[in-house]
Amino acid sequence: MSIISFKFIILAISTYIACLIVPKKHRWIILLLSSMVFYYFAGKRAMITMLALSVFSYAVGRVIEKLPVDSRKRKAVLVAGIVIVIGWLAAVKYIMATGWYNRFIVVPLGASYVSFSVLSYFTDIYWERDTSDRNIFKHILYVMFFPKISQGPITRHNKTLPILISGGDMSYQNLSFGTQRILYGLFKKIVLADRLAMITTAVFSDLESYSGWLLTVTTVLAAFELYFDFSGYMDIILGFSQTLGLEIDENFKNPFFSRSAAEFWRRWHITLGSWFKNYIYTPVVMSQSVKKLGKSVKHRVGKKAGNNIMKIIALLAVWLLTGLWHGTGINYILWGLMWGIIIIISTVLEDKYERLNDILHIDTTTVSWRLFQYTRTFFIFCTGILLTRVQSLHELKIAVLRFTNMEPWTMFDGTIFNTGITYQDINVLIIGIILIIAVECLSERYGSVRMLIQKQGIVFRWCVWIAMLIFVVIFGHYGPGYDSSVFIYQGF
Amino acid sequence: MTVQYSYIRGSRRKKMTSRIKNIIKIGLFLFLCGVILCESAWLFRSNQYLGRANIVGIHNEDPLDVVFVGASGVQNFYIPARAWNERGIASYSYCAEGIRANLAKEYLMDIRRTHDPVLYVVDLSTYETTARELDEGGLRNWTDSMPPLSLIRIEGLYRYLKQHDIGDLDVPSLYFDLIRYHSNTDSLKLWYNWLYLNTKNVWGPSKGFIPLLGHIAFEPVVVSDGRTDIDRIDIGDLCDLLDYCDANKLNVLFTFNPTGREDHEIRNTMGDYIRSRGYDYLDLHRCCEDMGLDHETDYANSGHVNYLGAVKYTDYMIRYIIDHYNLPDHRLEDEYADWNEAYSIYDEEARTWEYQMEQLIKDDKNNKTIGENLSKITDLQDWLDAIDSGEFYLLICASDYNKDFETVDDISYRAMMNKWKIDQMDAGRYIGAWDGEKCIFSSTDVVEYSDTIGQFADEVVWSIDVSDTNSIHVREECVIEEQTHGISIVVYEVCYQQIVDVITIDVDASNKPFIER
Repeated sequence: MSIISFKFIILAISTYIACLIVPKKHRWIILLLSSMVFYYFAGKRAMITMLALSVFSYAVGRVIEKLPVDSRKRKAVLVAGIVIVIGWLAAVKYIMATGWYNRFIVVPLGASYVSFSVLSYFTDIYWERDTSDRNIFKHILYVMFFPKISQGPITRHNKTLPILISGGDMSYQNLSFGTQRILYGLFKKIVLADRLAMITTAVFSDLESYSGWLLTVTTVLAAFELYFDFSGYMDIILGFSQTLGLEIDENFKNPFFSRSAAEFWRRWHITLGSWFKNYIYTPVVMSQSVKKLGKSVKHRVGKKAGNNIMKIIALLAVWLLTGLWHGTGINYILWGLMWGIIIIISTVLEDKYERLNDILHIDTTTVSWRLFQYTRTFFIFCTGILLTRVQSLHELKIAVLRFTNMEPWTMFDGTIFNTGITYQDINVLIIGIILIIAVECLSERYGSVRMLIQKQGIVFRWCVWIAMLIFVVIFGHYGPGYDSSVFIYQGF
Repeated sequence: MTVQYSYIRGSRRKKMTSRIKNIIKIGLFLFLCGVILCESAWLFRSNQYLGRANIVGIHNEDPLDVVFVGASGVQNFYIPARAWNERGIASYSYCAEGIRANLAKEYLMDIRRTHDPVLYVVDLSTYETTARELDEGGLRNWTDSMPPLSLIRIEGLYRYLKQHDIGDLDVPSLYFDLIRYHSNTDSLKLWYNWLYLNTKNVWGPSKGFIPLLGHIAFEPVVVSDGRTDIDRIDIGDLCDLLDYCDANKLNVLFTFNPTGREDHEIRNTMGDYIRSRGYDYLDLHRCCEDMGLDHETDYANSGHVNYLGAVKYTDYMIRYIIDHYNLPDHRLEDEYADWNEAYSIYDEEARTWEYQMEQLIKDDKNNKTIGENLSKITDLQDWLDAIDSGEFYLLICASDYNKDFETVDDISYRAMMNKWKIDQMDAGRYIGAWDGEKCIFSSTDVVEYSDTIGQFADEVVWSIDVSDTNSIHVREECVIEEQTHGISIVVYEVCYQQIVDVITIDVDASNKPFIER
């Protein structure tokens, strides 16, 4: 069941009404039932697989907690749990990558997201940062809470479950704010992202037919497409959760206002970055072998080098795994390594850059410097996008060669209309992108734009939201003839 | 304690007031959004079809005496302006192409919102008697002509969908048609679409009449007197309609217009049932002679009369209504002065239509004569000239044609190759279908193709196959068979639906083209 579908709307409205009717302390049961219904429509086998995973996760958590701390058995159970979950995830990814059909292995929706939630659950129990669930049904709700299942956010058990079972404050304010956010998400997703997909799909599927200039523009548009698609989905999910009074973790925070690659990943897919930091980076840095290596380098080269080598190893591990998490092709590994190397270089050479700025008398507090930083980060992001959009190294080579043949006149001679886009689509995109940029600028400066609008008079507020609703309904890609149910990040 | 209690009560009251205010705000907001979105659907519905205005426009008309209800079997048949001129009858056609008579009850309900005519004439030609396959196009022609928030529309949709096999149909887009049409933003350029925002600006063109200016000659259907078992007919909708007419004491004449349908046994049985319920039923297939309908000149296709046929149909219906129903003559009433103007407009248009029809029939008869003589022509140039002087549907195929046409020393032959694009054949094969000068299909890659000519009962299926040897089939009959050389041409005369010539053009040893039959 797609979240842009009539069935989901019915499910969402039914869930809301049911939660409104039942006492607060029992609302979690409604959420659980709705999650079951959601998964039922995804396929019975997928539902059974996820239920099995939930039960497995519950059992592992309980066993780990019962075993004595520091016992080898406890560690063994944790390792076994991790290996089984990762093994299953790897099998699922392999099937998705190769299309190999196996009747015993089902590819359920959101396998990556759910696996990470489960891994964080029993790892936190092992580290005594969390306690295991006593109630198996509450645990199933944590694993299979339907809004976040297909694209995240990746939530932590000790933070999320109390929210889910608390019942939430279903106030009028939460309802209106949540609905506004859903509308904003729909605007980004079905008006902008799906429209941009027409251009990016056409160009990336036939690289040789388009000039370097058009490919450059398309890469930039692909960056916007991914952002609008993913953040739009998040807005819909978080908006819906807000209507139920549930505050789920944010996953985006104006990422295109990042001044560095590292900052970018603190603003983009925040929960994924946080997960890797907590469960890969920190354990690697704190591991005995890496510490030993660090000490050894410290003795031979210096203290700074010793610290840096630990960070480098941990970052390489994080980014290699992040690349693999996104996809199994060589291009994803290159993508991960690209980000990793850039972040490593900027971390290791941070003081050198500062020194260079001093030498060149660059005032880093100016707007122009900030704009340069934003552009630089965006350029890195676009390079990463290009790596993920090509299907093979051969295509990457074609793309790079196309960049040597710009043909700038192709932007003005109507070639872009070969992608299926129309003048009207271009107008909608221009208006939409300008609007999003304006909103994000306001958000970066003043905080929540919804709060800003809320402070205005009722006529203004209603005009804004009705106009947005009409824009979404008229210019959205949905209905007969459109299939906007395919989210880009849903493949993970 | 009392202070505490008052405080709690006051606080609860405040909460309740706030809750009520919020509910009202939500309701008002949703209502506003709903109204704006639903009404804006008018702008995006593909209103290039004029027939939509018939259904919307009726509510802007002065009081009516007679309303004809039906699909194209009414729209192209009945001319309200003539009834006015003949007898001062204020009549109107509530119709749109393809709309099913199964929803006639809802049509009457819609009409009765603003009118209370003396007589309804309901054409049952499009009544689905057994088939449950849904006709989306016909359904949308009605639903898209109704106000989006109309309860009658919603009820009709619900009833119709309940009885049909929905399949993959996108049902929400039928109820909320903006879901389907929202991408149709080009319709915003059409000025007359904006009129629909205030439907009081919309008027049915010619009070619901849209003439067809085509011509086809065909054999009339043989009318049967047979009957069938009524249990084999799905008369549920008909019963609902008759019950509705009974309950509201409506005066209704049911008709079966001469649309060339062949299911007479079913229609006869329905007619008997209608009469048993106390209503009149008129099978106009039996009245063609009385009407003076000429199947050689008065039809645009086998399902619909052209303007000439519409005049005869209308005049017959006017006489029938005058003879059987007591209707006032409004010609001297000031309230109906607008109708005189409407008639003047019609009268002027009618002269043009008559002239066009005369010319068309003359051309078609001429074409027929040319066709009859075509098979006697042996010279290629004469044959091509005859083809050019007429209007024929040509089915052409060629393959393994290894003679270089440039070496053929014949201008007409080379011109023919160029005209029909056969000279682009480099893979050694060609399929082409031409309707006069218009290319229907032409390819040098495709080895098999099929299509139709005409529509309704006069629809003819043809196919061309050059995958092995050349063959052309028309109406599943093999007309060209296993031809291995030359250019094979089937000449089809559309108006009289007949093949008038079948030839193969080949080139002899001295490179001169010749016709082979």
